[in-house]
Amino acid sequence: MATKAIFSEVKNNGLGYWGILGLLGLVVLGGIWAFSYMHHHGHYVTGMNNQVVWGMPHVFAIFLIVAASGAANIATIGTVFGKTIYQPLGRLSAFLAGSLLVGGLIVLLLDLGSIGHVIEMAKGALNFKSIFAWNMILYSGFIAIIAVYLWTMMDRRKTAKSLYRSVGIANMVWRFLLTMGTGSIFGFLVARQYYDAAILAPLFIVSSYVFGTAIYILVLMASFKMTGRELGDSVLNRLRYTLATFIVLVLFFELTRHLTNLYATEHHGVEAYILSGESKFTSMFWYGQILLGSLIPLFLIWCRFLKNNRTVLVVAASLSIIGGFFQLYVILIGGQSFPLVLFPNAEVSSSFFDGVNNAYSATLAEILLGLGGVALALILVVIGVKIFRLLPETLADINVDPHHK
Amino acid sequence: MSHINSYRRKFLGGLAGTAAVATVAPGIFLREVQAKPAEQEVTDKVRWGMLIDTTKLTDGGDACVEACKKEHGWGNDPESNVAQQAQWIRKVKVTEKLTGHTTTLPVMCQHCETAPCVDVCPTGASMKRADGIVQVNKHICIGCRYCMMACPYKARSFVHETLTNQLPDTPRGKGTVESCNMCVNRVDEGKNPACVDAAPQALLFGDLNDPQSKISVALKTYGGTQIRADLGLNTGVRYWGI
Amino acid sequence: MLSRYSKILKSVILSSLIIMMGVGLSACDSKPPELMKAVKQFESDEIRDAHVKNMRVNHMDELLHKRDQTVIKGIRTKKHSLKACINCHVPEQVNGKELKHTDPEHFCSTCHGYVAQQLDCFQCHADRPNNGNKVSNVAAPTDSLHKAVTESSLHMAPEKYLPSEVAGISQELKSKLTSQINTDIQKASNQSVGEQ
Repeated sequence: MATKAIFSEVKNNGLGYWGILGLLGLVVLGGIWAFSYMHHHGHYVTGMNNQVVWGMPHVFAIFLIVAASGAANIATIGTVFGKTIYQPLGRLSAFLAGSLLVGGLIVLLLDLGSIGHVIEMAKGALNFKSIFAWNMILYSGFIAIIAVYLWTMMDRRKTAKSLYRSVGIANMVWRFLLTMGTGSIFGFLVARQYYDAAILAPLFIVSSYVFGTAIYILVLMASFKMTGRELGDSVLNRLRYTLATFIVLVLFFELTRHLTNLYATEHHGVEAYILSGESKFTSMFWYGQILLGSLIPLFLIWCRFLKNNRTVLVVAASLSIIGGFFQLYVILIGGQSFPLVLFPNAEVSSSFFDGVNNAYSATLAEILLGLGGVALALILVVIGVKIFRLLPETLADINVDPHHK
Repeated sequence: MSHINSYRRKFLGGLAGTAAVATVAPGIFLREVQAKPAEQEVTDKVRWGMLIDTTKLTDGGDACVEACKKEHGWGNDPESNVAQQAQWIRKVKVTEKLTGHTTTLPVMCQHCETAPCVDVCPTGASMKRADGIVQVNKHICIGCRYCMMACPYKARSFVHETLTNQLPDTPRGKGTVESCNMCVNRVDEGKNPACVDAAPQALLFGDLNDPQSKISVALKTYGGTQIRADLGLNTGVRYWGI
Repeated sequence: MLSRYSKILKSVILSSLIIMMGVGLSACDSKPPELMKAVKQFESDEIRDAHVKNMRVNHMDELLHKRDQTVIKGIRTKKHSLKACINCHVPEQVNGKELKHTDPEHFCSTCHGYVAQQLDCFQCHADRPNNGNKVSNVAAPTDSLHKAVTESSLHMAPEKYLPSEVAGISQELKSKLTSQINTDIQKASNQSVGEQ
């Protein structure tokens, strides 16, 4: 029988801890600089324009938001589906989810053209037909639910314990809506050839599991290694195969999406542009997302000779994160790069880039802003594990696996 | 008694005279655009629309573009690159691949009845007035550019830099989205949009809800094409010759 | 013992704070800065004083209210319209120079600078009458429609889409228009023949 997990704060006080915090802090400072630079000059200092209106900051932001939902999935498996081995992982999972969401939202917010006008939304300027407005409620609600969820996990009182499961279910349902909402930002855009498909919502859900699980694996391994806690193969193997399953699911949804598109003549143009064109998006899709981000991690996880190999797991998780990044870049930037079809079966030209494949390359400021969001999320985690009891003292096989011999 | 009768006769005669004038020569005096009193709200009894006959645009729409620039003052964003500069209206050249038939037409906001930009805007800044004019309320625009993602006509621009010397009737500024507003400021005063006055031989502006208006009669008799009619947006701007 | 000391200490700190605030306030110039004279003069001093009194306190609310009235509902009365404020309060030129909101003498900037309150309007709005631009000479609507009916070759000849009694165009003009359209068509077809 597995023993009850004991949680404790991180006790590290050395150069390692403060060094990591300092490094991440520098990256956040870079993000702040990028924001003030963009805010002062206006968006002409970015690579974004009237054709590609959302750029690198949005890739980072959406990646973090989607990953947040996925990171909380580990806790859900423990709470809702009653898998005891996942239960000690729950606290870090929920906290990581909240941190990633905050990081992503900050990037999204700081890219706005007129941040000052956001106050108008508090005064009631909200349009509930907009997916964005819905998402604002979904995102802030998610943070609230995460807070309650953490409380039910961490408080010893009876009330907390009795709410644990129901809050876990609420969290899962809310995450479903949240990721669907994020996917629907694109799914409901009738104007653009590459979007306008309801399948983007479930695709974003499964993608979120990949990003979230991969980030969780890396954070868990790093934190256990640095705090000298024992991490057994049982937990890691569970996470490893979870990750692989989700990668396969993403591949399945991508296949369905592209096949559906290929069946409709009106989408042939954009599918050819992404899948077989000479643009950078074609290689990003095939080499970045499919080969590097999906097939190689799958091989690394399922190859029998690499079983229990931790370095390989780190590589696989990192690759699937990179692959996820490519996936979002191709959807976001690639989708905008393809011109709007005003007149089917006609050559169109104008002074406003009609009928042209739009070019986009991110400037330093945009990348720094995005990285700032990532660093902020990680800083929150690094501080969180020090002030809260998020990490179990041990995840050794004997403690977590009832069937371990 | 007779006094009253003569008064009545005069009055009726006056009425008849007015009616006669109205039926005889309203053509020239027929005003498509009725100036509404300044204090009156716009209503949905009116739906403003525009008809563009591309075959009569000898310059393909250059005059319209110039008039729009002059009216609204866009085209003064030197820091931005070409892809970032605002364009409220543009001349689009369309060549059909099979036949090689070429048309040029001005394209701007099509003032959809069910505008995607209005649906997606989180704050309600992207709005449709009661009289069908779609515009951006820049006071509450947060600059998220979601409307630009949603617009099927690429009608919107984002202001990428600090602007100076804006025109009094067209406030525009950094970090907000903007587009053709059918010259609301002129329409509210009872004038035509600037582009219509720049090419009166090819553009017609009027009330689509009024079956007697010139534009309604013309569209009823000869029809009019919408760009991307497949989206079912019921645009306020219609074309001939595309 | 201790509590009494702390009480004394508290009252000393509090009273010194109040004195300091008083000194600070008295150091402030209680008079508002000199403002530029408005162009328009009111009919009576009472109306002017009421206007000044109201606007000093409420101008932001009046503008905010008017802003939504105008943008959303299309109400374009001059009362509380920013354009009307500017036209009256900011002269077209001062000493041969245009006054911008970045200049401290600008009516709005004088006070806003004085109380260190950010002034957002002029990020988008014109800060001076006509902004130094000549009023555009685009034709009035009736003119253009008249021109459309009488001078230009129309999309369609008017008699084609207007009932003849409504069109109200003389027979002479009608035939003139028809012949003009016919020549246009002739010209166009000649051109395309020439191209072939």
